[in-house]
Amino acid sequence: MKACLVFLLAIHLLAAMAGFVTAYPPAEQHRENAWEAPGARFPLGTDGLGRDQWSRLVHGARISLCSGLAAGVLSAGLGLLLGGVAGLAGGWVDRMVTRLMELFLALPWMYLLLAARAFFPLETDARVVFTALLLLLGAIGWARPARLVRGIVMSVKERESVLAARGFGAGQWYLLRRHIVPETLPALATYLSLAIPQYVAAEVTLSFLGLGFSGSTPSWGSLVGSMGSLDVLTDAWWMGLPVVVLAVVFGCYSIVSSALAETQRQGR
Amino acid sequence: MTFLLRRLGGALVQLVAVSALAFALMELAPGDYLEDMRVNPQIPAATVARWRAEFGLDQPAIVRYGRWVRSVASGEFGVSMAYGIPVSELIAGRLGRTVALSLLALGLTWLLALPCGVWCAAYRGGWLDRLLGGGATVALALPELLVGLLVLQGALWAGWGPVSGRIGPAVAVLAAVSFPSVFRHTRSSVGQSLRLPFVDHLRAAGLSETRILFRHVLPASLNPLVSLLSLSLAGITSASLVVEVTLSWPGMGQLLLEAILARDVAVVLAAVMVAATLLQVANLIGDGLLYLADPRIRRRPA
Repeated sequence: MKACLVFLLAIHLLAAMAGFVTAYPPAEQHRENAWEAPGARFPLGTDGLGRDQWSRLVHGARISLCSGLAAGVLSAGLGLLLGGVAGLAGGWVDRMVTRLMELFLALPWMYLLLAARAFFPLETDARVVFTALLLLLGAIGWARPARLVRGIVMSVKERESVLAARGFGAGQWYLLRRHIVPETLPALATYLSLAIPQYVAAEVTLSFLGLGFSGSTPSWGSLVGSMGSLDVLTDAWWMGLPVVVLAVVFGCYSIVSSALAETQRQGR
Repeated sequence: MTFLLRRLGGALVQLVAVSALAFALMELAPGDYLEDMRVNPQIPAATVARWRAEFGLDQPAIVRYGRWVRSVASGEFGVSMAYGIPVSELIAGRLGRTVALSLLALGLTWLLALPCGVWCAAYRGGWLDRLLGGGATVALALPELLVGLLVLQGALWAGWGPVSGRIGPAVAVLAAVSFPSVFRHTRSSVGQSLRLPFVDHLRAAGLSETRILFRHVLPASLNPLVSLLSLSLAGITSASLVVEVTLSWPGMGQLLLEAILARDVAVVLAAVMVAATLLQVANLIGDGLLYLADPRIRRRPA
């Protein structure tokens, strides 16, 4: 658990200082060194255009980790808003939101994500892709945190301390700020620790399929994109190294989120 | 019976909602097939307008949605622009492969995860529990894409040659991805049942530990697992999309991806609708099993 946290921190630090820990920019092409095996000059080798794989891995971490983080926060925010409103308001508002929630939970979300992506132009600016990805993931992922928040809000608002505060004349806004929202935060934190790796994985998958960031933007998805071809797999074994690194990253994520969920369960 | 009927109604409502969502997405998308022709100087504007009327594209969106729903309900999804054949034919060829892949993966997952989960719950802290528990924890968030790529690469390094296009590796990857959650749920559910007093009674009666576990404790803890069955099928359906593409298994996932890259809207919509229908059927089957397994549900007031 500790080792995993340290490893994840190291990855984030490396991503933040990407420019300092790499010798070449991720897009710089060394055509004379194409398909070079790992060595002193290129620690993880080079791809077919002679780009430094190490630099692409470290710079790619920025975009991938940021998309995961942003999409996770967005979906958690939407979930807090909608779940909170549903739990507080009750009545027909609650019924509507719950129905919508069930619908989104029952959807095959990978299909939906791809289908929604189909209606945006294929080749676009990296910033547009980033925004679109963020909005799509947030819009599809809000249902799970909303269900969590709704449950918590419904139980908290009947709690005696809250009823007492209400009796002392506390306003709706004060109750929300001091009593209700703080109660939902631990659950949301656990949700985020599970959701962020999922959203990072979504970016990697989409870009791998050619529907996310294109090869010229370094992201983890476009980095493993070249693994789709058999020639690369047989002739350039080092192209698989980023996949191994990513597998370790995701393994660490799961260990950390399992530990978080465990502490939360015991705390209750 | 009202329970099942209510669930069926809910499933239909959800399908209608999905179809409306999909249709709305198509409406919101900038441009359409004829729009591309309108800007083509070689085709007169009057011709495009006539086509527009012919295909009914000049009608308001709600009318077109009604027509689309009616044709989808009769199994007709329109014609693929890229292939030039009816979408239903295109899908019929692919659907069987995806269903086969998903069901095999589902079967393999549960065949492995259920006994392992029961065993690990009974011998908590034993070597198998520590091994599988640790493995499941690490693998919980591992994306199916990475597992697929690792298998591709691993098979090459091990000298087995290319494994793409075969069903075995695809099933293995899907099962490996869905194993952790089923295993963990089984373990915790059986663990809870093991603490109930009837287990002590059975032990005192002198039944063997294996018999207690698999004949008495497992049925008592099946309830949450039955709900998990349809959920895990939903997960496998989503994951199979990626695994199909990664390991080149020609199913619905590949079809959808090709359709998206070719901007073949009719195929995209059809694939989403078929996947959503599959999931609803899976959910209904899950509800039916729950109905059979738990008599309390039959008497629950509506």
